[in-house]
Amino acid sequence: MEEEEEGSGEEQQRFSYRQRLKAAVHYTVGCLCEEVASDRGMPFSKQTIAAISELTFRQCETFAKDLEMFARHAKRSTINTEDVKLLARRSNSLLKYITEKTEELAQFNTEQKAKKKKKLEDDNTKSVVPAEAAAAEKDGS
Amino acid sequence: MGAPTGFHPLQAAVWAVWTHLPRGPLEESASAPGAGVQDRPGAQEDQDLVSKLLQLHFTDSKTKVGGDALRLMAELLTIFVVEAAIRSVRQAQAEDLALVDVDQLEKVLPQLLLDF
Repeated sequence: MEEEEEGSGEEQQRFSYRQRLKAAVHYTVGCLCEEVASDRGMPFSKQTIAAISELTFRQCETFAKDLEMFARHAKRSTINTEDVKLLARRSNSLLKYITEKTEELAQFNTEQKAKKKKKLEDDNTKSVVPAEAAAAEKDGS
Repeated sequence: MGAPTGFHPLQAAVWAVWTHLPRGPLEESASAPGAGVQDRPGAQEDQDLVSKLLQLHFTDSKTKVGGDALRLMAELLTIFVVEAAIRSVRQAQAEDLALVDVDQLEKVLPQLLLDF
């Protein structure tokens, strides 16, 4: 009896977590729609925003399952940018946009890495203490 | 591709969203050094949300999402929402309405889902 109650409690918790995520999606969609509405001078009804939120939430499920399958197919457990690119395969312009974004991100990352390396080298030449502090900070985060 | 909309108006809209969203105090302090691609306002919150959304639907709890992949997914979902909104607005404009309602969304929904 007790176990049953525990089980239903857990289910309840999962349900409320889901509802909270849905609320967060609803809020984000609301902000985005507001922007589009003011941009185009065309307001959205509340039901439309709720419908787009629900749509996005459901679409997320499909996206998540697809991404998981793509990663597993490539014998990985971590989803990377290649999987996202595969997800955007259905529309040419979307694929092109996502590919450009991937390249942009990769370039940004290499720049950041180079900057970090340079900074670390600079710190090493100045004194050892700040570098150690930075390392400790990195461990902490 | 027979998509009714190219991404040029969309990109403009997405940029408008990025530049107009209010900045949180946390982000303003964080964006001081090395302002770059990731420094879009609200990007961090979006990524947290996207991460949780994806984790919720994964069937295998071992599945993880890379940092860049997460950023791209946040981007993709933003595009999805904005695309849904803009296509609905266009439908409402074509019907000469003053308010976008569920009916307009319903009309653009099939093509939207085929495009994503």
